[in-house]
Amino acid sequence: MPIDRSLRVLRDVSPRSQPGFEDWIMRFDPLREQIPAAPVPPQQQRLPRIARPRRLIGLSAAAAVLLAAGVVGLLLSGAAPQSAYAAASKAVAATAAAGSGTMTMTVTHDGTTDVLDTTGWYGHDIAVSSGPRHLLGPYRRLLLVGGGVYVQQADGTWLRYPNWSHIGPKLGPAALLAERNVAGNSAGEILALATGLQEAKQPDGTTLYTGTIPDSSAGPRGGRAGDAILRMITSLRSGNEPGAPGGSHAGLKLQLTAGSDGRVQQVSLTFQQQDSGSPAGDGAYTWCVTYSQLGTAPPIAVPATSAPA
Amino acid sequence: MTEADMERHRCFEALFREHVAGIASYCRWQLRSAGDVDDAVAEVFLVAWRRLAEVPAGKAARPWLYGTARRVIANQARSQARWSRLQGRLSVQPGVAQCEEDDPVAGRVRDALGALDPRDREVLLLAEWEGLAPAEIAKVMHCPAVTARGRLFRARRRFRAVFESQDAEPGPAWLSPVPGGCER
Repeated sequence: MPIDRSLRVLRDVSPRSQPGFEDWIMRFDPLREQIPAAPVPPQQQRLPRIARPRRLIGLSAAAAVLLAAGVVGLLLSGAAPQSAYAAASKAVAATAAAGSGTMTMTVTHDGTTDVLDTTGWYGHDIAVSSGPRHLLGPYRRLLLVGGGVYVQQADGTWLRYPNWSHIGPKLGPAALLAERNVAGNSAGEILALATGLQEAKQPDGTTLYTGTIPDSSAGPRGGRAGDAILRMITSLRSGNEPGAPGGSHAGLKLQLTAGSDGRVQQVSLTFQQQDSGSPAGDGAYTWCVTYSQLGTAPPIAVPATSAPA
Repeated sequence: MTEADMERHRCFEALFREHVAGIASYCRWQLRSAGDVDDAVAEVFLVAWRRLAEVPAGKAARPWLYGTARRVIANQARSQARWSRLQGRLSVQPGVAQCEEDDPVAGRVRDALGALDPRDREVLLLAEWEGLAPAEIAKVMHCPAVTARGRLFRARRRFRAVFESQDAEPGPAWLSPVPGGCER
C-alpha cells in the first residue's frame, strides 16, 4: 500500500528523525545502572490478593513519582555511594522479609515524642493501632486479616468489611499505607531519595547510614520533589494535624540503623522547619520508625465479635 | 547477588536497551519540558523494574511499556494540573513545534495535527512516529482493536485532508527531513 505524501512528511518530522536523536537517547543510559539499584517491593505478591479501590492508586502513583524523582535526583546530584545504598536497601528488604514484626512510628518535636501509630504484621496479616491523632481516629485499631478488614469504632466495637474495596476513602489510604510500610516500600522510597549516603560501623555492631534529602534534590524540579517528600512524610505521620511539619525545610537528614543481623532497627528523618512561626519551638521535627519483634511478633487475631459494615 | 538477581538484571537491561529510544521518543512528543521527559522515562523504567514479572515477554513488552508511559504522563500531567492544557495545544509535540519557525513544513504538520481530536492524534502518532500496529495501540490505549483501527483511519484521513488543503502544490522539498535546530 503506497504511503501518501502527507504521511511521509509526518514521519519525517518525528522526534526520531530529528538530528541528534540518537545522541539524545544516550542521556538515559545511566538509568540502566541506576534503576536496578532501586529497591523492589519484597512482598509485591501480597498486593494483588485484595482488590484495591482505584482511589488508592494516587498514593501509589505519588510514591512512584517520588521514587522516580529520587532516581533522577541521584543522577543529577552525584548520588549516594552505590555500596552504601545497596547495603541499606538490602537491610530494608531483609526487614520487610521478616515473617512478623512491629513498626512504631513517632514524631519528636520540641522535646516531646508522639506515637503516631504502631503497625504489626504476621505473615500477610497486618494490625494498625493508632495514636491519639490519626486518620483512623484516636486509639483505634485496623486489622487486615485473611483478606478481610476489621475496624474498631470509638465505642470499642468492631466493624467487618469483606475486603478493601468496601472500606471507603477514609480507611483505604491508611490500609494501603500500612501495607506499603510493612512491605518496606516507604522506607525504600525515602532511601532512594538520599544523597551522599554514608555507611559507618558502630561499636555495638550496628551500622549507621546517614544521608541527606535536599529540598532541591532534582535541581530546578526540586520543588516538586520536595513537595512529594512532604506529602509522603505527611502520609507517614498519618495524623496531619495542625502543628504538623510543614512549610519549607532546609533539607532532610536521614538516619538508618541496621542491626548486626542485617535488618533495619530504625529509620529517622529530621528536618528543620524554616518558617514554623513558633518562637517557642525549635522548629526541628524527627519522624522515626522503630522496628521490633522481627520474626517474633505474635499472630494477629480477629476480634471475637464484629458486625458487618 | 543471587543467580535470580543476575537474571533479573539481565532481563531489565535487555528491556531497557530495546525500548528506551521508543519510550523516550513517545515521552518527548507528549511532554513539553525536557525535565518532564527525563522524569517520565525514568519512572516508566522504574515501574518496569519493579514489576518485571508482569512485563510480557517478547514483542508484547512494547505496548506494555507504552501503556505504562501513557499512564505515567497522565499522572504527571494531572499532578501538575495541566493535562487539559497539554491536550489542547500542539506543543505536546515539541520536536515539531520547535522547528516551526525554521521550517514551514513542520508548521503545516503542526497545524494538521492540531485539527485532530487529541486521542485520534495520539493514535496517529503512535502509528506513524512509533511504528505501533493498531492491535498494539489498542493495548496502549486500553480500547478494542477495532476502535484503534477506526481512530487511526479517521486520523489519517483528517490529517491528510487538512495537510493537503494547506498547499495545493507542495514541492519536492516537503519530502526532505526537517533540518537541524530541533535538538533539545
